[in-house]
Amino acid sequence: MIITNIEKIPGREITHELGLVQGSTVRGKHIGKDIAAFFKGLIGGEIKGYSDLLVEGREEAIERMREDSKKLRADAIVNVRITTSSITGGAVELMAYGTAVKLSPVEAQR
Amino acid sequence: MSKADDFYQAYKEFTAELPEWIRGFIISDSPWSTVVNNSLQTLAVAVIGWTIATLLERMHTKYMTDRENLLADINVSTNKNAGDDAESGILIYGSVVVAHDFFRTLVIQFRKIIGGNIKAYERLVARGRREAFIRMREDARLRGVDSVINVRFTGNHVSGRFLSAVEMVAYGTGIKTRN
Repeated sequence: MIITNIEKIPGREITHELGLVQGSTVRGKHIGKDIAAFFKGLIGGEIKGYSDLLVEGREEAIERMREDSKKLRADAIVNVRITTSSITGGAVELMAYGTAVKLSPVEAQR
Repeated sequence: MSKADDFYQAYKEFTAELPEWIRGFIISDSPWSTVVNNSLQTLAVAVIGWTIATLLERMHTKYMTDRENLLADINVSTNKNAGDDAESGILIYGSVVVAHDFFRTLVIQFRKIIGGNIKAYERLVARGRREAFIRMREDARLRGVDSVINVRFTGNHVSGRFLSAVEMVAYGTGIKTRN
């Protein structure tokens, strides 16, 4: 599965579009991480616990988008956008969405 | 009556006339003394936090400059055109969650009353975005791409139970060119 955030796949040709695909996840942190974050908040800087959590969450969202596109038998996803929204204190929603497309076979181009 | 009792009596009369907020500094049984002690402790924590935060920020800026020098050869653009010699594309991104220290939280609370440019926040988001941008390019290096096109920045407020921070994301399409 090839994923890009531009309209085309470099080096390949898009035969037709299959529609919108998306994946999202809501992540919360356990209380221990929040307490650690509170102490880190006294001196500022990077909050490692949250950074890692959001990276994991984003990978999960992209993975779910990929599964969604597999249902459509897509070869690639183009024009992907990533968003984060903070739903409530201690929970974050991560979302990835894009357009699933079908590609022409590699042999046909050569 | 002893001399000490006399003194105590005079002291009590003297302090009774003082305004309540001054009494808070000198008399421990005043309801204000708890408030004053607590705010002094808070200030102490804030000043220590500010000192460490400033040092860490300086170190972080230096560290980022060093890494930027190593990543200078990766082309980055917001252009959507991949070019004719592009071979493959892949989604890459970098993200970071940063928070300001407790002292700046207090400063920001006061600054919000007046409004205008909030310098502490400006510096924080600039630092976070720079770090996210560097991480994106490091991801690009890791995946062996030559350039990153259609780069987008997003950010959001991330709040925990006890802390609110800012998340910064940079993402784009990494392009490998045909040799």
